[in-house]
Amino acid sequence: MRWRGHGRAESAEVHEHLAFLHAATVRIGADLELTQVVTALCETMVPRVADLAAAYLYEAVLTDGDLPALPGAPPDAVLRQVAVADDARLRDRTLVGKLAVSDLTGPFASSVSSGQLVMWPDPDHEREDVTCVLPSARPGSVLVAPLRAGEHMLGFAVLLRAPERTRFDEIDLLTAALMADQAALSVHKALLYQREARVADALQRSMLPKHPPRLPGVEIAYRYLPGNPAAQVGGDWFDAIPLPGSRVALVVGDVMGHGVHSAATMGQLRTAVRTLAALDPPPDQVLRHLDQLFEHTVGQYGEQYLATCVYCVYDPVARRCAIANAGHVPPVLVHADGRTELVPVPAGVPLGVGNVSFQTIEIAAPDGGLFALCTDGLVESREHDITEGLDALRESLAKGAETPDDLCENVLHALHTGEREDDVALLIARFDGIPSASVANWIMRPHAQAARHVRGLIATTLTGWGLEDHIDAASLLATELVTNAIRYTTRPITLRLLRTETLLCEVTDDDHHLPVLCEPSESDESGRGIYLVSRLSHRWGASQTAAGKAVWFELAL
Amino acid sequence: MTQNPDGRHSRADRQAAQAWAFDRIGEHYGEAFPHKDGQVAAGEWLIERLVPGSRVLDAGCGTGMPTARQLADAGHKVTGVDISHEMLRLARQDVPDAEFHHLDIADLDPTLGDFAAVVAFFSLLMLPRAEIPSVLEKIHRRLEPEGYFLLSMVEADLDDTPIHFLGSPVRVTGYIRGELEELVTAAGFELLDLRHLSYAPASTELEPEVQLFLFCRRDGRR
Repeated sequence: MRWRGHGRAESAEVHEHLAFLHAATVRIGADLELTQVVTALCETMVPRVADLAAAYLYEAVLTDGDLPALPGAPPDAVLRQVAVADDARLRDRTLVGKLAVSDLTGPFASSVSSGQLVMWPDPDHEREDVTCVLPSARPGSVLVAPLRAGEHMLGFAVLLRAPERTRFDEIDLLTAALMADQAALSVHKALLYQREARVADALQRSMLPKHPPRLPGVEIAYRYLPGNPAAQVGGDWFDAIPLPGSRVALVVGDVMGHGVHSAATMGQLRTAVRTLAALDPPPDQVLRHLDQLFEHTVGQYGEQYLATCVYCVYDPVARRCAIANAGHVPPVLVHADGRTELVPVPAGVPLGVGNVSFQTIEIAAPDGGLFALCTDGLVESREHDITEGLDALRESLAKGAETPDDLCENVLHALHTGEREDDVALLIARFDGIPSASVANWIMRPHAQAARHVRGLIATTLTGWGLEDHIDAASLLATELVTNAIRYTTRPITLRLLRTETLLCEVTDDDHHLPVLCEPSESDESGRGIYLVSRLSHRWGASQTAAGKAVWFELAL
Repeated sequence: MTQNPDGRHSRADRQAAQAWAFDRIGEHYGEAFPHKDGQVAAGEWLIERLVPGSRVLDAGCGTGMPTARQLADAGHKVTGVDISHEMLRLARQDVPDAEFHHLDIADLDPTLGDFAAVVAFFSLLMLPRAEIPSVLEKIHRRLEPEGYFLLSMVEADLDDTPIHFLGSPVRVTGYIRGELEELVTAAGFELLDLRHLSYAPASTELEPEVQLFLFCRRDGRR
């Protein structure tokens, strides 16, 4: 192209070129994904500017590592070819796919070290070696354009012209430089964007539970899938929290908002739910406390944050479930025979609205049934409304599976199609129940005879369960717990024995002081009991409840 | 509610409070305790041993379900007593072929007549420990010689202890099984069998309990 004159024809040519630049700029800037950006760069260059265009990016760009900075990249930095476009004239050319900075020669080496555009063969320079990138037949002319964003080196683009075509001129050089800069800025932007999405995702994942707890009478599985990084949505969470009396709290929630903030808010909420759950209030009160907490502490990012949450407590001994909802997708109850129903829990309003009451309902949770809790990301999309989504979920759940984990997999496979933008949390709990014959529970006055009663009850109960070998250990440790409990309380205490794969013994009382584990000394009478429990039991623990505390130990059977 | 100087409630107050609570609990009791397998099995045990048309006293009959109904269906003449008007209303409705009296089990008197068997399922737990021996004696006196006495209690170590039961405050008493054995033996009963059963109420508000069923006979000596 030559625009020497100022005639009408030249003017039309300028217009046409500006239109091309505009279209190319728009196209290169349209995507937020690295390879898409450089592919757009290559494709806009061919055939108008070059017969072949390829882009190389540093591995650090692709792996989110430390970007090389000007001047020069370290010799061991590796470059990968990530995009190529060619026309018929140069289709048979091969390019090196991967090479280190130290391998670069000629125009590639000088472009990478200087950060400048270099043309080969340059009329003013001798011919240099280009085989490091172009090992096969010699091309007509070569142009190497660095991809840099400020001080950051991202890679380079190489443009080739077939020998029969005229060599690159100044206009081509400027066009290539402009487009390479445009692409580099877009890559850099995509990188930052990707990085933020990755931080949000990492934060989100770091705050979600890893493996479901193994608990008697219930089998739990869950999954979390992040949303589309470009859509920047997140903040879904789930939890399964063991409660005293072999019950478990099942929680799924969704913080409205996006990115790092909603992930951080989710983390705060999850911690709050765990803390509240341990105190064991009814589900509606858990939500009420959360709502207040949300108002006072969480919603302080200068934005109006809301969250939805459904909170259920499953009692495998009573075979009942107590549920309260704060504006969340209701749980689906699946009966053992495959019938499904939406649990008719009042919808409530999201947390953060403030000054509203929630309602707890209680339903039967028969053995072999299961509960599926999910977030709207699973059942709602741009194409399908929530009613269709819930129907599809129920249909998928009704098919059943060997384990809750398999069922999670099947449901996600059926419902989580590629177009979904929102993140997804899914929790499935199968009600296995605990036969009442495997539970024994007594209320006792906190007087001196309590220890004697406990030993008698443990002996008869464990004999009935065929666990005679464990009577001595269980009696000894339970006596310690009961002795500790009656030291401080004046209200009746509760002793519970539960036989599953282990023998669980739990003592609850209405005193809030948790026992502290310490090495017993000669003079220290009180620390000895818990020390003994910690040494002789398989596991032990203590938690505060709204009414007092629960201390428990397990013996392996 | 007034309290005596020793902190205990007067007997009349206690009766009134317990009756009020059970009037309130009413039908919820049946919802929280839908299966009464142990009680039904105990009723069957008794029916196997009674001649048809025997007089049976259901002491603290509640709604009459399942025991008064079960015994009446087996052809026995059932008399039920309870302190809750609401429970008795339900009992008269469901078991029209039995007779019911509004009476505290602590006030069993000779006007009721003699019985071939007395059952007291989860009713003595409403009384303070101090009153239970005398109630056992009154039951003993209402029994014909060799008459059967079936007693069920929740195993616990409590004495007129206030608890919340299905949303209502009640005071309950319980014994550990050894104590209960001693108690019935001391009252002149021969203990034929003792069964225990773990029971989980159908409510997340109630804890599972161990139910004790004592199968006794009036011994001939007293």
